[in-house]
Amino acid sequence: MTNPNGTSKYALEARNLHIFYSSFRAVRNVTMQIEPNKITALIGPSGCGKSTLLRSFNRMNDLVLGSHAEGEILYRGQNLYGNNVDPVEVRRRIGMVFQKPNPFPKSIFDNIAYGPRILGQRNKKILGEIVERSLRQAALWDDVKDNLKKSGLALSGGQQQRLCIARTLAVEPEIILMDEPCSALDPIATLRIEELMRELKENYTIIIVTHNMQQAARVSDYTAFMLMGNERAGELIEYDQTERIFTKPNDSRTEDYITGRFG
Amino acid sequence: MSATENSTNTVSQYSQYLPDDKQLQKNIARRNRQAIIWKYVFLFSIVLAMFSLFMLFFSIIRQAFTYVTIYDQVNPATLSDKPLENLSQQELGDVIENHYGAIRTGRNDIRTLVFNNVLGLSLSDQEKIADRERAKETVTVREVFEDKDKKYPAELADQSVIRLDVVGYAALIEQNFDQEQLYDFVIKNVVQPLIVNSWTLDEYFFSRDKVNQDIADTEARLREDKKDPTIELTEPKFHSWVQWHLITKTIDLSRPEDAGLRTAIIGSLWMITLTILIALPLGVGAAIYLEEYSSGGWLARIIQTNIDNLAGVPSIIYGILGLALFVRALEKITSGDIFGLGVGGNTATGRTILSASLTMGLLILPVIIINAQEAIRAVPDSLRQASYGLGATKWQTVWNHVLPNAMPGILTGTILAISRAFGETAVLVVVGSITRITVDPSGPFSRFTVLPLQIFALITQPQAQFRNVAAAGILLLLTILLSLNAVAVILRSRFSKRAV
Ligand SMILES: Nc1ncnc2c1ncn2[C@@H]1O[C@H](COP(=O)(O)OP(=O)(O)OP(=O)(O)O)[C@@H](O)[C@H]1O
Ligand SMILES: [Mg+2]
Repeated sequence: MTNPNGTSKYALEARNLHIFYSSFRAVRNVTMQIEPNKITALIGPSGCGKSTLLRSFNRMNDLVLGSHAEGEILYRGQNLYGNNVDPVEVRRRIGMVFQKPNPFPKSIFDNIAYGPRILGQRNKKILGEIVERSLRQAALWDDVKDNLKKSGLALSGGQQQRLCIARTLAVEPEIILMDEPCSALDPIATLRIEELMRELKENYTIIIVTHNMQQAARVSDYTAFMLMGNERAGELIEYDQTERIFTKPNDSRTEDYITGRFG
Repeated sequence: MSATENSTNTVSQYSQYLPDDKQLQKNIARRNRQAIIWKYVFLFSIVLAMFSLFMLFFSIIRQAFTYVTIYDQVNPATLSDKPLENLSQQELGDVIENHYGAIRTGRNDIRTLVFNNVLGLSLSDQEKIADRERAKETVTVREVFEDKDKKYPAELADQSVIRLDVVGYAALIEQNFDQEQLYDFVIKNVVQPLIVNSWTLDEYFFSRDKVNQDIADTEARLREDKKDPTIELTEPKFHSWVQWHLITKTIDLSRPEDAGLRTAIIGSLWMITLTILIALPLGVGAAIYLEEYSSGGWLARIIQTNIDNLAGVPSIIYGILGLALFVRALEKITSGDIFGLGVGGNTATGRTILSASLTMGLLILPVIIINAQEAIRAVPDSLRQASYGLGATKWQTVWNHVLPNAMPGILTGTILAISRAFGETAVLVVVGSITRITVDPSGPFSRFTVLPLQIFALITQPQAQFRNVAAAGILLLLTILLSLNAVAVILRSRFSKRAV
């Protein structure tokens, strides 16, 4: 992480990555490059290791007892699973939005100020600016600007998810990981989040897991298709521009999955 | 295809085995009957429990409010022409001078009264004075009284403070007490009223014959004992044993109507406070480690099993541990010797509040750990993930999210633990609480007694009236426990409101 002008032109690069839960291999031999300032979608049937792969990108998997990884994930030319890498720093640079909106049981303001605060920013005025900017970026400012003291839990599901996105934006990560961020939302809230993602990719690299084919087709620039292979280990079957994946996939299994013939 | 076949088969098999409509109706009636029987069994247990609780309260309250008769050991009419409450300071002083010791006073020795009530000397100070006198030194009135900032008549200044006569001590009392205090002193130490009979309300109102008989018996006994045929008891009057002096006065095992529990209350509060200070941080810390840091290896599992088992160990065993470890092995620390704070000299001993609190802390530690663990486990993982996802360290996550959200649960556990510690006796008997102590504890290194033990000591007194005092003490104990719980419940609801 000491090399900010890394040599790689990719935002992230996985090389021969295997991920294990104790002795169970959940992801086998994934090699892929994530393009910067693009939205990459991970699709595939349930249990094929999408979340596992996504969480390994910012080492959230470390929190699961007994999980470990083999292979490399390169970020700015450095291996995230290298010995001298502190996961705390990784997560501060590669943020995450979860499937279920999980605001802290605190005020809207405190929810968003939490990230900058733990990084050491104590200045009230600067925190206020960060909160406003993040809420604007997440298209939530107009909904909540009159009452930032309100509990984050008092918002609707879609608003809560946008609050969580704003919270992630507040620490200015480079990459945002989203694990089925719309699965708990209604179609209108979903569209708003998708719109938001399109705006955010100007400044951020986004990787999203989704079960919704239309969503992947609508928002993503690249799509990775995963499938459970031998011994239930997830494998990367095909990874290409979204357009190609959805029009002429190379692998027949991809086509079957996308057209709904299995999975 | 075969799956469909199977399922059709099963359906037809079921209809053979399940009851037909007629059977079903019978069978439902039977099942309902069963349900009703169980319902009444449960209802009965609740009623029984409520009844026992009611009986408990009833029997305590019955003892705490009674009708009593009083016998003035010295007739106030013989002390002065005027009613005692109208006498001046001077006149009351004369009464003490002339009549103190009119009856055998035993431990109401006037010198002790001066030392305790006027000077407030601790037992060890009194012993020091006695030691110096034994070494042929004269400890003067001037020295002792000036040290305590009290007044004394000039002509007594150079006399030995332990060798004055009644007149001398009476003068010292008169100089330092106001009229009200002097009146109390005269009543208590000269008139010496005794409650000689005590009847519960139901006895008084529904068995008047027995009451009259009791009065006659007592009068006859007193007349014979005192060789004074004029002795008469007062009319029975209502007496509430729950009185303010229960918390303002200290124990007096010669006069039940005057016995207070102040020393025991202060002892209990000291002990509980120290226990919380010891056990809460340790317990919560251990719980955090086990839940958030430990990786669940074999060592952690052994520790966990031990904690779970320790919660069920009888308290007497903790008492024995505390005796060996804190009272004996660590005596230098628990007596305060090491800090130069102990009672000093040869009286120093490990039987202090600190020892008791350490032992009690060990006793409630498992309960606090287990409850805190449960509370921490109940904090949703999504909060931790959100925090880690923003780049928080483990400590930041624990401090900002896990602990605040677990607080209501932790507090509940602590309430349970404190209630247990507050009513605990076995441990303290072993660790060395003393029941006849009348000096308030002044800090962690003092000797002490606690409320439940003091109540027990009262009940075991031969004089029946002490049982009334004990009942009042039990009411006090319950009140303190309930208010502690109320405080915790309020704290708890504060915390949970903040969490939402
Ligand atoms: N914490 C865990 N401990 C052990 N095994 C796990 C854990 N989380 C996931 N797995 C296993 O890893 C495999 C991949 O799980 P993962 O959650 O990554 O799938 P997914 O593709 O995200 O599925 P879904 O679409 O249902 O969310 C599954 O077989 C799952 O059982
Ligand atoms: Mg998943």
